[in-house]
Amino acid sequence: MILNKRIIRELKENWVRYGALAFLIIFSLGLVVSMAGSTDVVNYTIDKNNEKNQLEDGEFSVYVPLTENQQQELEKMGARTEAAFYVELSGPEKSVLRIFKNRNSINTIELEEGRLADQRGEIVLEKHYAEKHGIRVGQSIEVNQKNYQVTGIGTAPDYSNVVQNVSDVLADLKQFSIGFVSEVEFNQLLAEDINVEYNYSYKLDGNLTASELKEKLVDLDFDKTKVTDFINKNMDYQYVNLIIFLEADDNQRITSCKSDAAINKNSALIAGMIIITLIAYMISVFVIHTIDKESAVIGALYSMGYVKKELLRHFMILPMLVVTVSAMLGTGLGFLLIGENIKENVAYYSYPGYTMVFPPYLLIYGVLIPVLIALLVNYTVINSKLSLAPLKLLRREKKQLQLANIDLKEMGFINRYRIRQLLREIRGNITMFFGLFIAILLMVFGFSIYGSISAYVNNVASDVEYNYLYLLKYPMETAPNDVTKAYTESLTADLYLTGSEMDVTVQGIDDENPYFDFPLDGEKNEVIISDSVANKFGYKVGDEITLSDNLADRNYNFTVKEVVDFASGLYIFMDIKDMRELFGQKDDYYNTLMSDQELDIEAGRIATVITVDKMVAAARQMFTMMYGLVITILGASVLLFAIVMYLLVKMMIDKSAFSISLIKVFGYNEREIKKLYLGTTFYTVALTTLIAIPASKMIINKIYPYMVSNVSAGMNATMSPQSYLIMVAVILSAYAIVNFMVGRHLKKISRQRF
Amino acid sequence: MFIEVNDIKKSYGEGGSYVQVLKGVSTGIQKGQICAILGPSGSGKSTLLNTIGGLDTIDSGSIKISNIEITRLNPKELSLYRRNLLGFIFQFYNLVPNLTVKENIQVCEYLTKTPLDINELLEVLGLTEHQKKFPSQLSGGQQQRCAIARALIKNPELLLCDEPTGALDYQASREILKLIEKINKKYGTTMLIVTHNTAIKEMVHRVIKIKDGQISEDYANTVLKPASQLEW
Repeated sequence: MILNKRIIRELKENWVRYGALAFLIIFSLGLVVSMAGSTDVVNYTIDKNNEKNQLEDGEFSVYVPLTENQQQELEKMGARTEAAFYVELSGPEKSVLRIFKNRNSINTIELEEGRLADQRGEIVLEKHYAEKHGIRVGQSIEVNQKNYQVTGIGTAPDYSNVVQNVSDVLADLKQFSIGFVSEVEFNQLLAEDINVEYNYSYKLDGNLTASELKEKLVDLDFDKTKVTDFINKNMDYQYVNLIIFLEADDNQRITSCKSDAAINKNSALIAGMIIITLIAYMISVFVIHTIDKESAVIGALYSMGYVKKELLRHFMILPMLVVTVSAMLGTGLGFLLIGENIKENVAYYSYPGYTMVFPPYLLIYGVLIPVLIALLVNYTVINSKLSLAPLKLLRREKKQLQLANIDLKEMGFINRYRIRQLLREIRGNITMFFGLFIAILLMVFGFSIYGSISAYVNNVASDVEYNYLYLLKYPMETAPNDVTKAYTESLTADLYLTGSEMDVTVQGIDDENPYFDFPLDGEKNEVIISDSVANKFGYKVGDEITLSDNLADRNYNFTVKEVVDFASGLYIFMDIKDMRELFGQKDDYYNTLMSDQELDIEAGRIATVITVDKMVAAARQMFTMMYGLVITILGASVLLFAIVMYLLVKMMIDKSAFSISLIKVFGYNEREIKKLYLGTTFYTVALTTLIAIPASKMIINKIYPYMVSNVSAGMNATMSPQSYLIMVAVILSAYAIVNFMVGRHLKKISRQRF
Repeated sequence: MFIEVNDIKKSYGEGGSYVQVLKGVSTGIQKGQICAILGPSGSGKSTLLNTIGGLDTIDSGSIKISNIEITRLNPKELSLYRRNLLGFIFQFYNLVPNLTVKENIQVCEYLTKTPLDINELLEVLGLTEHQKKFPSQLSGGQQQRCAIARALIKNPELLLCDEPTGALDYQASREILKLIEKINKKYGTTMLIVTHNTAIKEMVHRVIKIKDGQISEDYANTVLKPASQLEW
């Protein structure tokens, strides 16, 4: 159809408009597809690696190692186990290396370079640790005052998130990692009387469930003669050999990489759809503007015998062309940017070099869905516009909105004119409202991530008053001076956000504890929860909460007495006496020491050391990791804001070109014309800002907990007053720039038009 | 009769704004004739043209064009009727702004399987040298010539012209009228011209004067004055 020749010319004439829209589509789809694509690449790489290296179904640790017979018995029942004993040794720059012996059949090592350690004095290091310490294959490393030759660098599937404790908020890749030595070397380490953690990995063959295995492990007898004196003194034999039982699905060392990526992906896919719908609608608004402008021509074509189907097809081509080409380019760009996008994930999580995959659904998402949205939106809008009778089109008759006839009584002329102009262009203004709303929503999201992490960093530093917290495996007969004793238990609570469970730390403290200043009196089952727990689980004062000890299959009910500020981790506090009684411990039992100074305690006794410096450093690391995302979101929001506003305001000015020309002829000066025609934009921008900022904050408050659901800390979407001010300043600046640009366009409208 | 209009009535609005525009108009025009419809503003002449063109509906009466009762046609059939039988010329040309002269004509060439020769038409209408220009690069007269070519390319049996010289100066108007005369002779096209220009009445076969929704005068010219000799 020869009529279609005008499409390319229309595109050329309005290249700024369509170019800007195409840019928005390419930019947003590029971001979305690269985010979702990188998630898929991560998932694919991890799944492939897990399969290749026989990822465990779970792990458990015991006080006394299982006998060979017990292992065989378990295997017969359907649970293949492999010892994954480890010792923790000091490495360079005060780091801690968790050393395992080479693995044979579960969680095997994936080497990126070199070979496995098979001689004494050889070691394989986890790749990020090696990189952070600048160690290469062939070099040596001093571990526990002994030199080891690094024979290989690689990863292990059960440590894709290299955290020391499964409840840690973040990994510190320089300070903690894993290494693998030969069996001979490992046995030598054990012979040196280094405290060992008897950990096992297991794989189920389908005949046994995890809970059946756990029950079996609880029932297994163990050789009490091998238990050390300490344990003999401090343990009651009603206790079982099993210390920890952790299924792979509950192990954040294994799951958090994929779940982290999944949250990013879902958020990106939803945001992408919203933006594409907005852009598709914007394009239809421009097409309608073209149809309005060419109304008489369309009427003439109808008069000549063109039918609606033909014109509809014709007017659909340009928006569909713009969306299709941009969607293809955006998706292509997204695929190209996967490597860039995945960098942060690769730098943080530990898995082998990724394999690029191009999942077909992303092609459907990136190309087909935008095209379908554009088709639906444009078809609906253009079809309705072309359904006007030919004569009405010829006479340029438009449906007059009842709203535009609103009685404005005695209002001043300028304001009356502005309001009428606003109502005449209500479609453009509503589109602008939604466009700016989405831009502001993105802005609030960016500032909220920034605020949330800043607040977390600051609160961790200010809420935690001790410098060192030692979690002991076994209490000491005589505790050092100047320490504060406490009792800590790890329980789980149901997390409504994910439908799964999350570890919480219940800490028994006494009234003399100098690091906490809240009173502990009250009923025996009353607890004081940290604001972090309150945020994470949605608990309030007076709530009855249930925490579970999965190992003992026991539930504990507590009543929330108070919520206190404590940002780090997920802590619940109670009176130490009540807690000892509740968990059946002796009157003077403790397993936690808090101190201002570093304590000299033998390594084997310590389960975990938490230092405020490390906590703050980890929180800062989170800040660094998220910084790129925050900048991208804020940049995208400002761009979206400015482009949407510029295009729509310019279009509204173009639509009013005739009356502007007339007003110029009447003698109105530029300032007055700006007031009449651009003043309405200010109303829309001001109204949108007033509505969108609080509404966006409410929306982000609701969705943010889901986005950080796998972080073991309660983080709120926080925005500081300065952030609000910056946001308003950004909005006003963008408005001023657009106003200036459109003002120049306004000047160019000739008096001759009239 | 090629055009048979019988007792057509047309009104707009309701209540206080009710206006009867056509109050029982009947007339007939033979094939190949040029007919001028004259009358003051608001007399109903454009409404009559639009109802014949199937662009507007009537309250009662009948309109037969080439023995087709167009008042009974549905919108789709009306489109086909316009496609197959009609050409339209408007006061403000209504050309597609971002198509060249030739492409504007080809827009309507697309609508028929038996179009006239486009190059011959360009030649006849004096547009050959302007064929690659866009409407904005043409004078009013040239734009109207392009609009006529666009209407004629389908070789329509009936050409409906609504104030074809209304937006043109004297010289350009005279050129357009000369073209209308030439086309009628060359292609035998039946033409219905709604105009304020009373001088036209001397060059057409039939003159219908409408006043207040009714035909006040309806006569045939026995001697036609060439368009080139018209003065106004």
